[in-house]
Amino acid sequence: MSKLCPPFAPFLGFAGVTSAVSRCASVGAAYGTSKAGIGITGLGTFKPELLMRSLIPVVMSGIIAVYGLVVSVLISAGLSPDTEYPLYAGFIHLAAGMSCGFTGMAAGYAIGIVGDACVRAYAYESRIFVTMVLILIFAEVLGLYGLIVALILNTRVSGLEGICSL
Amino acid sequence: MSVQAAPARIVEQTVIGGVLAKLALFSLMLAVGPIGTYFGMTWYITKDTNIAAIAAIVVANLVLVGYIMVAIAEDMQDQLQTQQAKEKLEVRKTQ
Repeated sequence: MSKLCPPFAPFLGFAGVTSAVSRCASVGAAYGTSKAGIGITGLGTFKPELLMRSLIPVVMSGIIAVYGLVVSVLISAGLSPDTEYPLYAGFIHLAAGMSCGFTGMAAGYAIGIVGDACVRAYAYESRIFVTMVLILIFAEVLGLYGLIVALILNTRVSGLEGICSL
Repeated sequence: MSVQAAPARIVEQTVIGGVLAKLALFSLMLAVGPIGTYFGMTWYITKDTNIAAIAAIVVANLVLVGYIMVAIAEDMQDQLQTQQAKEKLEVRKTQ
């Protein structure tokens, strides 16, 4: 093994895969779903006809989880034992996974808190619905930015054939 | 008291019936859509995984937009039915 392709390089790639899905999906989306769910069940006890509209924060937390899933599937498609895997590619995959993971965590946190407060207020004032959707969209594009950075980083991995024999 | 509660009850009955089916449908679409798009594109259309990832994200956001539109349409239908029920009660009161 050359210095540019050490045998521990795939460890970093797989660490990127794990951090994308476990931080985005488990931490961010779980916090968003649970915090918004508290407000929604509080609302549902006395206004059950508003349930479909008040579930929007939960759907948006699900989208954050999908972002993490797509990034980890994308990174793991570039890992295989029969192609050479330089350390550079390992670092790129780690960075991509972590950028999607941490921004997803932040977005899920924001969606949870905003969803909880806005859903409780929606029970009393129905015009707050549009404001709630707007704030939630702004909170969700935080996760989208991390995904875009992960995609841009992932495109830098291609074109590295023959680097291990240098 | 029951005169004022009648519009709310009518609205409630029509709304709660279809809610579970819609929610199940959207959950299924959110679970299957993006990842199905990703794998469908990598197997059949293009070898470039980044394009497939972008398509998967677009599908996920389309599911979200569809959900918001269905929720808003339901809201407008609620308001229309409450309005109609109130008008019926007014007509009955004046008779």
